[in-house]
Amino acid sequence: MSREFNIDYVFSFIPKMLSYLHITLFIVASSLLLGLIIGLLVALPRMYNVPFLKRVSQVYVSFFRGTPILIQLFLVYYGLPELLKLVDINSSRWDVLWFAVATYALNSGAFISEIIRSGVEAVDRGQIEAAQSVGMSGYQTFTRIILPQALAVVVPVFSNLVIANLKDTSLAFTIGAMEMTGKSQTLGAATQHFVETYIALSLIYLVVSLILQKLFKVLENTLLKHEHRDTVQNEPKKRKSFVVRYLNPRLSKGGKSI
Amino acid sequence: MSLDFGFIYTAFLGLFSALPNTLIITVVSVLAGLVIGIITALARIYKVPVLSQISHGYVTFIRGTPMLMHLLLIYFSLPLLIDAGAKHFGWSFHSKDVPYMVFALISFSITSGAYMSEVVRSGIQSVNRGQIEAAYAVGMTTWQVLRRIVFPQAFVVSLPNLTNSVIGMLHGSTLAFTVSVTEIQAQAEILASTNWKYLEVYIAAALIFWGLTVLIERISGLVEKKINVFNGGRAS
Repeated sequence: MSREFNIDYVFSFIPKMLSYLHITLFIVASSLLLGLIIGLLVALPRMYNVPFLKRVSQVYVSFFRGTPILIQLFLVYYGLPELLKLVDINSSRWDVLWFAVATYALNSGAFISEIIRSGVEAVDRGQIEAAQSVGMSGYQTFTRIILPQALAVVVPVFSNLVIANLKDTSLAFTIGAMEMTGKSQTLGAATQHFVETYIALSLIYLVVSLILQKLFKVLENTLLKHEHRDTVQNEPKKRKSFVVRYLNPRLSKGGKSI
Repeated sequence: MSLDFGFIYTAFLGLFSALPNTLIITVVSVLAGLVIGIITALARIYKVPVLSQISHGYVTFIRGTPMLMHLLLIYFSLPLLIDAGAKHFGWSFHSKDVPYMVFALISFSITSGAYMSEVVRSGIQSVNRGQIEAAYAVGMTTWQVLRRIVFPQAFVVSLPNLTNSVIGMLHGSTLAFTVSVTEIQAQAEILASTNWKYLEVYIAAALIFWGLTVLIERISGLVEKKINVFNGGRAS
């Protein structure tokens, strides 16, 4: 099946795969950006209770959280061209990368809308009333009161989503996208050193996700700097992020688990 | 758009033959993951010297790499180890005798174990320290404290995370097609390529997974309601 294990291959594969890292990161970044827009659009009708749109967004979120990303990839890959044909757009020459980006964007959109909702709901109702009673407009209440607090609550969950997305991009090879995993498949097939390929690839994913985790940790600490100054100082820091990350069941529903 | 609705129904029925494999993968990996998770979580909470470092490394590695990598690593490296062992010790047993399903189950249990470990850890740590001290004060042993005081409360807190993990493993089971296990995704590929109706088949597959996920969420919701009855109706 495979040739004998040779550690040298691991080292020689890493740079080869790293040259495809930017495509992986491109998928992650662009799908998050698009997902943020979709998530906001989807969260709004549910937060403001818009009659018909509310149900549509509920179904959208339920569908994309309730089906495996792999199935979604194939649905978009085979379904989107059909939809585009209806409006006379021929997508047959498009790069498969765009189908991957579209899938991950639709998928993140569902998760992000939940994150936005949970973040906004986490802000105490009384504070919003207080802001309005001192004469703030709706926009001012949102940018000055809701947003800063919601952001601080949401960052850990968002960080989990970004890392989950990074790992999910490894599936894009199934529709033929040439990112890191796609490259590893060809390297493995060409050399028959599969174990070494996947060790090298795992190491790259591990390092990238550790770096992302560190970055988000820094961001979280900056955002929490002004909040609960006394509790943050008195209690061990771990506790705070712990509560935010795991114990609020409303929040944990916004996160992907795997 | 040329969508053959009749075929979606046909595919739907065709995919059901692969449902048992999907469910086996999900159930086995969740249960085995729970066992691994409890062991690694306890090792980390009680700071067992070497074991806690190993657990930490294990959880970090698994959570930092895609599930697909774990599957492919196991699938390609375990046969090498088995065959090396067979050659060295003269076993009559070779890697080709191992069904592909076993590789999938091992790998998914390892993946699920790391996520479960975090679920268990957060659940256990949410139990009030004072209660544990009180339990010790009335003379309970550590095992009694865990079983009577910590686990029941931890379960309530972890239920949403546990549900997420189960759904995650259900969705993750689709990866088993890469090692030729015929679960729903693999069956969908077979059906799609023999009939040249790709979109219809994947719609059917999506509907099955969607239904299963909603079912799991419902069950978890019911359990949560039931538990909260004993909790004085307060959400944990």
